[in-house]
Amino acid sequence: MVRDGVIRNYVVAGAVAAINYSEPVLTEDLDVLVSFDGPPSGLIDLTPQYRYLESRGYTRFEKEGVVIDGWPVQFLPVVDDQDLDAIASADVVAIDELRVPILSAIHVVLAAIRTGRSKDFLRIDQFLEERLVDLAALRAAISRFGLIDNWRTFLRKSGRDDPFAPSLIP
Amino acid sequence: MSDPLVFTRETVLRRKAEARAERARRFSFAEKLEIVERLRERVRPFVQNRKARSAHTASD
Repeated sequence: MVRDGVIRNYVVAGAVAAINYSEPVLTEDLDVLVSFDGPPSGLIDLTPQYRYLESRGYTRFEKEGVVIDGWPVQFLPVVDDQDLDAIASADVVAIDELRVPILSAIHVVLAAIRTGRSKDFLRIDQFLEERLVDLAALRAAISRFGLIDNWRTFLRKSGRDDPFAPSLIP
Repeated sequence: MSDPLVFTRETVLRRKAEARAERARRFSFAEKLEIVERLRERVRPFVQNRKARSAHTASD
């Protein structure tokens, strides 16, 4: 899709990105963060991308994703600087001959902090508990991307002590 | 030497976290993806059962 100009760039996100750093866990779909030409926008039309896939035989939808090689794939458009940085600072993993960009550990945690569902909080907790993320870099990134309120919510709901010194919470 | 059969809850949690981290390091991403695909195959009958039940409930 990148080669054919349908998307500009992409990075594997969600639970599949998380297992690059953690032990394997069950997940039913594959999230892919995609960027397009032009600045991020709140209103995105994915029709060209789905038409492109349809023309290649990918016509089945499941769990709001188009099924590719048995995986429902959800395309999540870049919406802000955090997403742009996630693509720019992606790690790379090898799958057979392919080199696939995948969220860095910090961006796995940042995405979970921003989204803020119960399962996201469990993921943050796991990354902290197993020391899968660099705390100093995470602290700087939370501040940089304006996620301090989300971080406060995570600490309150999880009952965790703030791992940062000095604390980000005023 | 401390008795390995006497421990605190914190010790258990720490050991479990270490074991999870070890499992995380042991496999490559491609190997982990294969494990996830096998897990998905294993739970597929349960997922289909759940979908069938919710479709049945919706049609009631």
